[in-house]
Amino acid sequence: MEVIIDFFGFNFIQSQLPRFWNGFQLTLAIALVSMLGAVVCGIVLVGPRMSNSSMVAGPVIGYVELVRNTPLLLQIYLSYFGLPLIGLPLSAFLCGVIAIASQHGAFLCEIYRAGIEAVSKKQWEGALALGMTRKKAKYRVILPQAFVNVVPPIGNQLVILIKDTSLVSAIGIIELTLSGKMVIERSGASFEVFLFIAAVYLFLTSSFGAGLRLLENRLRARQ
Amino acid sequence: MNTKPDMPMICVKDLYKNFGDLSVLNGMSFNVNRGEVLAIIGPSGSGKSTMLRCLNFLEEHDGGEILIEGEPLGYRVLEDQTRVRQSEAEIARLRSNVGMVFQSFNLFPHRNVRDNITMAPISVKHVAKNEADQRAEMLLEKVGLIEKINEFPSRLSGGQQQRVAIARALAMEPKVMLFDEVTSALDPELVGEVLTVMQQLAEEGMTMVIVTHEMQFAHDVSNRLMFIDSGKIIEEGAPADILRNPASARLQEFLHRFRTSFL
Amino acid sequence: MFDVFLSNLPYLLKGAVQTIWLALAGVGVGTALGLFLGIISAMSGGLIAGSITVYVFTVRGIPVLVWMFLSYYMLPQLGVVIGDSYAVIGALILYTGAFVTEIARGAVLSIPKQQIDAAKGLGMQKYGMLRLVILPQAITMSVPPLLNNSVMMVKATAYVSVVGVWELTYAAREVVERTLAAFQIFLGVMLIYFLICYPLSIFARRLERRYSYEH
Ligand SMILES: Nc1ncnc2c1ncn2[C@@H]1O[C@H](COP(=O)(O)OP(=O)(O)OP(=O)(O)O)[C@@H](O)[C@H]1O
Ligand SMILES: [Mg+2]
Repeated sequence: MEVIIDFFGFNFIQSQLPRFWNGFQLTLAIALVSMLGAVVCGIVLVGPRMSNSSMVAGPVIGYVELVRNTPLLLQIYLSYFGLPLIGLPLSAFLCGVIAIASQHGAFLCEIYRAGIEAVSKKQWEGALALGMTRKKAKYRVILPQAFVNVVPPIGNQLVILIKDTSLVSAIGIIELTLSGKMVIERSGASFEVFLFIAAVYLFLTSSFGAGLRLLENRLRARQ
Repeated sequence: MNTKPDMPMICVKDLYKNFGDLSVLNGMSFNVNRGEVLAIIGPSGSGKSTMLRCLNFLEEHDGGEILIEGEPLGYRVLEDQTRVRQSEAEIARLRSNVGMVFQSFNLFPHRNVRDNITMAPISVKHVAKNEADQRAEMLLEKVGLIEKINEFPSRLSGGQQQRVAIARALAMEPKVMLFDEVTSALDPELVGEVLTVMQQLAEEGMTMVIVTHEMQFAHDVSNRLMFIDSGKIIEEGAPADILRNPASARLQEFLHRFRTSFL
Repeated sequence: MFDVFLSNLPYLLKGAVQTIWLALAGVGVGTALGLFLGIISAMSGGLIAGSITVYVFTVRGIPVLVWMFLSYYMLPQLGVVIGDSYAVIGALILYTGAFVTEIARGAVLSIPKQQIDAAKGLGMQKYGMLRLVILPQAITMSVPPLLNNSVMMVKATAYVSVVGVWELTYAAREVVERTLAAFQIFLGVMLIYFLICYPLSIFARRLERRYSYEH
């Protein structure tokens, strides 16, 4: 038993737990703040994205396409090294959050749009025929149905977001991934450290996923 | 409610509607009087649905005028003949006087039967919640579905959904009801329950415009019957006359395909 | 205005070549692996399908950067000395493979059962059915998601720079550290990535649209 436990570096990892704990908390904080930012960013974008005027929709489409077809890491660098140049010396934490939220916000915008468009045109007509204005129809009839449509894809996107928080390690934020790297490099520990880190991420993403499926089932069960 | 007894309920003057190059309505004029039940028949693609949808501005007409109790719907025509689109609020207000029932029910799947019925009265007419609930119960009683009040639409049969859709439209206390082939999507054994509700409404004096393929029902329920083809009114008159002695070759041919005898 | 970017462009393009090489190797091998595993998993049951599911679940639940660190630290310690860029390609393959497995499995399983019955009715054996009926349909259907997945993986190649492997993003950082021209370099490099990824995205969307019209 002893031998096996030592083989996996269990005792060593245990001794490093406080460091990992700090990293874990930071990962969680970045993920939660970025999620909030991304969800809001998507909501802000989807209105103009769906506008009939190409003057309004065009810039949003351009932004969404640019962001979706370039690596998040570059956006993180851009906000970390670039924002100070335009007089916004934000903390690394905020730079990371801004980059993650704006990338995932672009993806969420497209998810919202698809969800809204998936609600049948007949639902609009049903509501309008009852004398609702377009605004009332949108808020009482269309968006609630779109919400049910988008919960699963939003969830998938947020799982990706959780994983993407690991990238802020590149700008020196000692979250879970960087804490692992530092433990290895400072103490010459072996790769098992990253097995542990990987397990923590797996726990995070899979429990988030499980919670999500619970929510989905709740929502579906009502209809 | 302010009623204007001297005005026809609906007055359609020289109505035109195109979809791109396709002209679907080619100058239709007719009135629907208070308490009248007008049935509309015609071949597929003749423009029945389009015409009906124009009556609550779900389709926006390209020419002519529609008056609901004398009030223009959708556009105001100024003195110099230019058309000005009405505001959204105005259109919504006029629509709330016109109930519509669709072929595909269009119930709101995210709300139960009660909420489907009370949503519009509460949010559009600002009816108090308990009053709206009472009215919903009364209407469900009437269409024979009071026991389904807490169900979600997906748990109802097609016939039941369509009866809820009728109750939902009635909850707005419309002055006229439009029905667009409301039994076409139903299994044959479910058609009867919906027609019964419509028959009952007609007997209560509701003003109705009914597009249908059910010739027998059109014959039984309507005061007046209109046959349209290619976006034009070909014949109209008392249902018994029209169905028994069609004047035009097109109506004769159309009726022949139904192989129904009207006595 | 873009003078710094332009004067460093040859160096950055060398990085882009390295990026494309990493992407081709990782995505190419990973896609082949994923197609193989996906088809097997859809056609078989029990232990094989179960272990493939575990593979997919585990790989997808963990950031690709962590997989890169893991293979970067683990392979040498296990005595596999293949150089850093090969080690991270291992992670790219693993990751692509997991996503492609899901795509391929989903595509095979979405072939209507009637098709399989029809093939059986024609007296086809399992292998013939797979080759003549299931695969041609499944592969056509998978092309758009495979392309989207490739875009995702091209973007993921940038992350190898965090582990210390030189490619476009690494080169960009070097240039920025030297010239401090963060905006033009990073924006310019984003443009290079965009030029690689966007055509793939557009192509995927075109095909998606075409298929949805056909059905
Ligand atoms: N939104 C639209 N865009 C383009 N063409 C349309 C649209 N709606 C209807 N049409 C066309 O207008 C014509 C009349 O359609 P409409 O639905 O009014 O016919 P209908 O008499 O109700 O037929 P049915 O008995 O099949 O319901 C048809 O040729 C139809 O294809
Ligand atoms: Mg029709």
